[in-house]
Amino acid sequence: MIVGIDLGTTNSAIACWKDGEPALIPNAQGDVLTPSAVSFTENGELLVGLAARERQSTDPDRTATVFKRYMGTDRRITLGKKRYRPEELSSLVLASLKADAEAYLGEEVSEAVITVPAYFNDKQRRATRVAGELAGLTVKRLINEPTAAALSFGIHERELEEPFLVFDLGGGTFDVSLVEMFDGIIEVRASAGDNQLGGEDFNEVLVALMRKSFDLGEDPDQPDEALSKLLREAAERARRALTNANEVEMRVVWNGAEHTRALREADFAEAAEPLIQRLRDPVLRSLRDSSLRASELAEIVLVGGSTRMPLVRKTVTKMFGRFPNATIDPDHAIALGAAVRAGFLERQADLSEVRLTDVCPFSLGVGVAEYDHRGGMRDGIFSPIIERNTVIPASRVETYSTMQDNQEKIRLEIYQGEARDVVDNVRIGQLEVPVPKGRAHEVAVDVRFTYDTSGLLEVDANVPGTDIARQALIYDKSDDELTTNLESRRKQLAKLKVHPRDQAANAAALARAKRCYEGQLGPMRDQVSQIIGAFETVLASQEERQIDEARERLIEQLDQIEGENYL
Amino acid sequence: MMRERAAWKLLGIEPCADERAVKRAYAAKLKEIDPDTDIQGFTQLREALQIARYDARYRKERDEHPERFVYEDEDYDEADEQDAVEIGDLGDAMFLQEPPDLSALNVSAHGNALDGDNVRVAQDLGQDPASMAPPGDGLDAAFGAPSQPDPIDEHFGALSQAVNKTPFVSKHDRQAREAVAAILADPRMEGIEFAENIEDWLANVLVDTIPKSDGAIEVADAHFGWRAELARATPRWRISGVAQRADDVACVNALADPDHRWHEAYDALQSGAPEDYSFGERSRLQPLVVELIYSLRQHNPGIEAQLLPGRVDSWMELGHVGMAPELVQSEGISWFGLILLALFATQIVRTAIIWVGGV
Repeated sequence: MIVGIDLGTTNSAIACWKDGEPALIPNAQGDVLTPSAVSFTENGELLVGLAARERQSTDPDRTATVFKRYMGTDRRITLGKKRYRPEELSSLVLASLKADAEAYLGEEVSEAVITVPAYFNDKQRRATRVAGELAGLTVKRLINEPTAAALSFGIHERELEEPFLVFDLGGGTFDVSLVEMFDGIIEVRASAGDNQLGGEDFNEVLVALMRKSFDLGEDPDQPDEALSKLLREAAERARRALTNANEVEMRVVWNGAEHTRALREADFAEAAEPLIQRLRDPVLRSLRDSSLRASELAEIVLVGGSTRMPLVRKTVTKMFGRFPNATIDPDHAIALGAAVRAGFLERQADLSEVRLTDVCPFSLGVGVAEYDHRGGMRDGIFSPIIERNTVIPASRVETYSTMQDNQEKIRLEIYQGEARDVVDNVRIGQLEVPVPKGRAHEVAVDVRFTYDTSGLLEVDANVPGTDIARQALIYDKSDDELTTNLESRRKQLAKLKVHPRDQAANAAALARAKRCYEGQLGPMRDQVSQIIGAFETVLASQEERQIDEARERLIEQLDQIEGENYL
Repeated sequence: MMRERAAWKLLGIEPCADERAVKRAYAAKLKEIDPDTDIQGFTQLREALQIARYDARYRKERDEHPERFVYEDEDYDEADEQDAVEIGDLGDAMFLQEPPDLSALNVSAHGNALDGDNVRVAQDLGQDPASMAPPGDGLDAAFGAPSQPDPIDEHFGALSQAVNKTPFVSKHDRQAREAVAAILADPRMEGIEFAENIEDWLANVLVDTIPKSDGAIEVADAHFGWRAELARATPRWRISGVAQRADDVACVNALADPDHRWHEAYDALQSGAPEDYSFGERSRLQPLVVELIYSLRQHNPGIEAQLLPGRVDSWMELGHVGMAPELVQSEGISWFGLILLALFATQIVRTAIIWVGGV
């Protein structure tokens, strides 16, 4: 069984193809969303999901969230005494999802389709693949998140003839895809995005507002990490509350003092204006790349939890002069689409008449030297061979020539990106080709790029009229620091003591109660303390049914104190 | 490179004007192959789809509007003369009461063969001709107050008058710039459909009135980023016309700077044949002229087209001279860093060749 996984910035989800349709798999607590959070308890037990997220403000030193943002970078995250790479933390989330699927399906799960933001570059994709391998999963495919969303929308709307636009604003990334369907073909026409724009950035806007209006006694040059996490949590809460109200309260308790500030929709809109502006560019780019016009679109489909924000919906409505389609669950669509893709790979009979074609969301090319129109010769200019939004698999050839008389070789530096200067793109490989002697401009080399659906780039260079030919293979799992010692790192991670799966719900409830305690003052705090004490007593009894009842009661009481919890 | 006939054959259907049939045929063929393994086969099928799709649109347009496929050169000149008569309201009336069939007038101003009439019309297909009219009209209903005159119409009128003035003086350039700026400042530009219509409309008007619209193009280019279009594999045609013009103007302006590396070379190309120079001068200038020509061919072919015929050849024929060594040193580039120069036609040209071939 191949599963589909949405490895998100804020939440993750896992799904499979079952009985002719994609289905989400619930975790140990019965939720289909698992927060992408990792935490270690005082005795070194690993918590993943809601329990871990609840600890981000109470145990900031041992808890990590939003690590997807650092995928593909050299950044390390310290938890307790150990430092972790972002893909290692992601692998812990994946392993937890894998365990959920195995418990649900009653069989071993070893293969997966994992989604990535369309605008993830080669390094970020490679890190995601490594995360899968570290979790003991063979990553059959990485697919683009908006493509997955389009699949889950398209599989239910097979009759739709006109192209539609998928507007996917998640926790940390923003993607736009244009999709067209006909005769069982689901064709992605273009993808564009911003891999550093999501709900978390909107939270940061609110965090900045709170820092400005609260007297927190913080050294502005040394922001306190624990306070940052606390503020982020308060921001998330306020932002979610704004979905159903025009005015909400932002509130934190810090150093025994309570700070509050009213937040109106209009204040938020004003503070978030720079982010709202950034939503427009990818939309325009995808329309241009696919030669489609806004008026030709049948639907604007909203995906990603952050599209619940009324501010975002208003912006989309203004942009297109009509209301977007919000019929699919923005949090579930991507995992469901990944399961559809997994179904394709398994050649499920229900899907035999459906074909998907996707695009390469970024340009691939080489660095060249040329004269610009101001007469200077510049090297390090990007010359794309496979342009972004080319349907894959794709194979294209370009011809380059020497710049000097009797040049001996041509060195092809291979890049991915859109910037004109290669330094601003991601370098993904190189290839050297010896060339016969000749005058400048007159010795040519044909360079063929072939990019396939599994992310393999093959570069073939040959000198016409000679038998000189060179080849390079660039894969999103090629050797480098990311992939060294993969096996021993996997063993290291496997050795971590995981908090028992059947205790996950209790751990989450308890972690939430402790967070709630820290967020209250005076008599309310005492009350929370009593509730916690009562629950801990029942927990110690190890009577399963009583524990379940006590947990229900605890959650109910917490809901009364701080409002319902969110995922 | 695949031509129309090969494309239709690969799809297994007769050439037709029905885009839907093209897609159906493609879908059937796609299900016969496995794109994951048969990359070559898939790439060819894709190319066939693209070509047949455009061909079908072209056929449809030709069937429905045969009149658009007649080159209307004389009408075009007449229109110019009418505007030349300084009657302020005439230009206005032409634009607003009789939304001009701009797609039919879509003739490249710089006479480049690749920008020819047919190519443009083919690319225009699938567009509702009404969207070519000043966009204010069509969108009134959506934005309320249909009976009120839309203030943007005044700016359209002002622009059309300014760029049609003869003689064209700096006052008119300023008016054109201001009109474009006023159009772009309309709050409705926030809506993408509105902005798209405005962009098309402006591109059509401005491309038809080159070089009078040079200043207005500059203002619009700053807003829409038209010049970025030139780097794209599949540029939007009407827009690539104005974009190329904007780039050509910027290039000529840069070359006018006496400190510019190619200033003298450009002068030489404009003013003199190689024989007019002394041997020493000629030897000094020739490598620079060759560099400039390579650059122009790559970035600004329109400028070469404006030079005296044969002039470029006579400089090129002087014989090959190696790269000026001081250039290499001054840029501080190691020898292996001097890698490549993309000489060959870009994708733009290729696509265009397919079209010219097919039309």
